[in-house]
Amino acid sequence: MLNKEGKKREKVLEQSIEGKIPPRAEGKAPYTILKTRLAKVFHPKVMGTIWLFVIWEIASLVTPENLFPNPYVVFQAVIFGVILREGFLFHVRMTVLRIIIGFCISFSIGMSIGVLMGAKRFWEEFFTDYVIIGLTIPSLAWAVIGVLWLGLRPLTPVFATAMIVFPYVAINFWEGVKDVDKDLVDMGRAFDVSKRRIIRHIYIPSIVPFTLAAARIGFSISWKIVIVGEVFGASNGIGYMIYYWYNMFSMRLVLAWLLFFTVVMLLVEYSIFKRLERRLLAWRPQAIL
Amino acid sequence: MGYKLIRVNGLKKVFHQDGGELLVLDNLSFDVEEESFTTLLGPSGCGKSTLLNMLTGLEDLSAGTIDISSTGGKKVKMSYVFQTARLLPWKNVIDNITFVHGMKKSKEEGTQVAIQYLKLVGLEEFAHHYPHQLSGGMQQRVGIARALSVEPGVLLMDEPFSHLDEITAKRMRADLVDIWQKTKVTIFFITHDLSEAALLSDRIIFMTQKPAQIYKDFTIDLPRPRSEEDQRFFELQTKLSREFHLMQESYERTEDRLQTS
Repeated sequence: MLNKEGKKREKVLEQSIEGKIPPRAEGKAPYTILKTRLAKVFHPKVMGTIWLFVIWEIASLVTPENLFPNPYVVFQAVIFGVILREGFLFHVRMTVLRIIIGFCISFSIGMSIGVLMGAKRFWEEFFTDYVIIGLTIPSLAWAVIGVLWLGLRPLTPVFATAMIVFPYVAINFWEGVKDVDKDLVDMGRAFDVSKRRIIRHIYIPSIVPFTLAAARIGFSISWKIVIVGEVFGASNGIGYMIYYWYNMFSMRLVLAWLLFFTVVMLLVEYSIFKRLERRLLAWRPQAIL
Repeated sequence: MGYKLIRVNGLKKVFHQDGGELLVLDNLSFDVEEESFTTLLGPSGCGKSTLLNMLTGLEDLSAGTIDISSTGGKKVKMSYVFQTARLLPWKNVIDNITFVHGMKKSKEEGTQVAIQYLKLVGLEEFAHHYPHQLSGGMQQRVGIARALSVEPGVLLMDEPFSHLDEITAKRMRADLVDIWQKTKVTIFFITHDLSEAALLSDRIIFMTQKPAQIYKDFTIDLPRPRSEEDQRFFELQTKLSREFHLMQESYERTEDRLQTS
């Protein structure tokens, strides 16, 4: 008869046969446990963050306080000067809203153009120059044009964002559609699989990694551009606040807003994109992830 | 046996490229008997894959006819095994097999059929694995199971073992003969490998270099299971190989003649 441990082991073995977990997850020696714990503490990411603060601290020691405030002062400013200040939520909400709208517009335009370019020779030739030009126009130009055309309206930064980001999204989808394995499509056609099923089960899954890349790049550029756009063309939002504190010569609060926002974006990356990636690309071998 | 399931008549293929014309297949006629194991043997680059694409309908014919139908004039279901397994990397083995079933079968029914054919190729334990978790030989077995699972009248195989190491390929060949004898499916096999053709087939159709024509047609009546150590097999192989060189020589002579004229 199998005891508890034996049953557990059998289960592990079963799952490993089904490919759910790697087979060596059972029975670790104490030494390996210690090693994995140490590896967690000395994780490259942890080390990287510590280095950032060490260098920051050193830099703040050798430069004047108003140019390079030390990390502690900036952390304090994040709490008392940013989060607990009146209007904090309003500014954050405006910026986030602009990012989301700008991202969605640029993503839909970029996706349509990119898919067309990947699928049809005609549209590839038609759009290539537009995409290249789109990539080369400086973001500042769009921000200025946006203000001149639309004035200082709440959605002016969105215009600049959409114009700047869509070529990046388009390029990813263009590559993605071209990258679809023609052999697999031929296989489907040879087996008389319907066009709809081929699109659903061959085209879309192979474009997924490119979609994720497009979303990531699109999102990270979007928020940068929204901030720039807010400096020029808005009277609220995080960019506006950074500009405001710049006018007040307060490096402390400029850095505080920046730090706050960076943390928020990192959270978005880890809570949304990483998770999406894990779920959508679960079929991939671990080494690639 | 005896009924001619595939009838190819006067088949011709011309590719038009950069203003020029390239004759790939020239007046090809042959037929494949029901339940036979017929092999098309030709040197690399002689247009074997083009012929296959024309049989599958992925490529147009320049001239001639291809008729694949059973006794009542009914269309015969065809199925394919490619040079590489061509599995969808994001689907597990079962879903890869049911993918080609379309909407005709319910999900349970499809899964049942898939398992049945996985058993036939000896992979039922790996039903829930993803392709990247399988070796090249196992992937190709899944490809074979997938092809058989649509219960085809003809199974077209395009150099299915050419990407495998020789030891794996050897085992796969033996298993393929087993499967063929069990399922009675008609197999039309394409290869450039002489001894592979000799080991597997009832009949070998020799194809020449581009523009490809039929050079000779052999019926092989060695008893099965065949073994490479067998004296008769060895003689057969020698005979085929001699024919191959004769064909090659005559091809080169024509080439020379064409160049000098």
